Amino acid sequence: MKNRLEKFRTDKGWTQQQLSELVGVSRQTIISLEHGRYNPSILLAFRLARQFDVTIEELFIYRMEEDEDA
Amino acid sequence: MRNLERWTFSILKWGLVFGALGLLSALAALLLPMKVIGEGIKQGFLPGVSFLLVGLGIVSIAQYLYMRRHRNTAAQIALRERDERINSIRFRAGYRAFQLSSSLGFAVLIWSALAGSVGLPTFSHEGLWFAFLAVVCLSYIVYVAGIVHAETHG
Repeated sequence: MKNRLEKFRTDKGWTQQQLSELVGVSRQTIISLEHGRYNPSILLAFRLARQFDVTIEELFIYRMEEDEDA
Repeated sequence: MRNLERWTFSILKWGLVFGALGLLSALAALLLPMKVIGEGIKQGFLPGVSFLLVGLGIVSIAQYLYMRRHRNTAAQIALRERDERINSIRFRAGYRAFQLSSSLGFAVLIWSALAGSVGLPTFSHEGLWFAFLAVVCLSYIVYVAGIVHAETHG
């Protein structure tokens, strides 16, 4: 799943470490999220969206054709 | 910060529990008569359990003392402990290790039970011990390799 995490984070001027501390995950998790290697839980997605004052849909881009199980 | 305090205190708590159980086990090995519990339990099982539990207790208490002194490191470790991606990696690696250990353990059990009756080579008592040791070691290797692979490629 693609996301705009890196863009929102850099717009805010936060480092990966700062964002990781704000949402309570490791920096490696933020790196994996930004590279699209890890899909977050719904709770983490909400926490991230809340940090940027956006909706989950604005932060994460879901495409059905990328979802093999759909 | 309160979560961090609670987490470091729980490490101390488990250290004390393990240590106390280890000492109890050592006392039982010293005080219980051999006639009642048997030589194997008095000289093999109970001392072995004591070493394991006291060792775990010492490691946990040392970990607690280190974390009391190094709060930043403790915070990083606490964060990693509840990080959902890391927990998911551990879960998947653990599941693979469980699949392997249960399959191999079952295979060794079936082999040792049926090999003699179908003319296959049988395990000696020592051979059976080494076979189960191999199952345990392989499970650990698969678990650690699963974590390392996911951390480097995931």
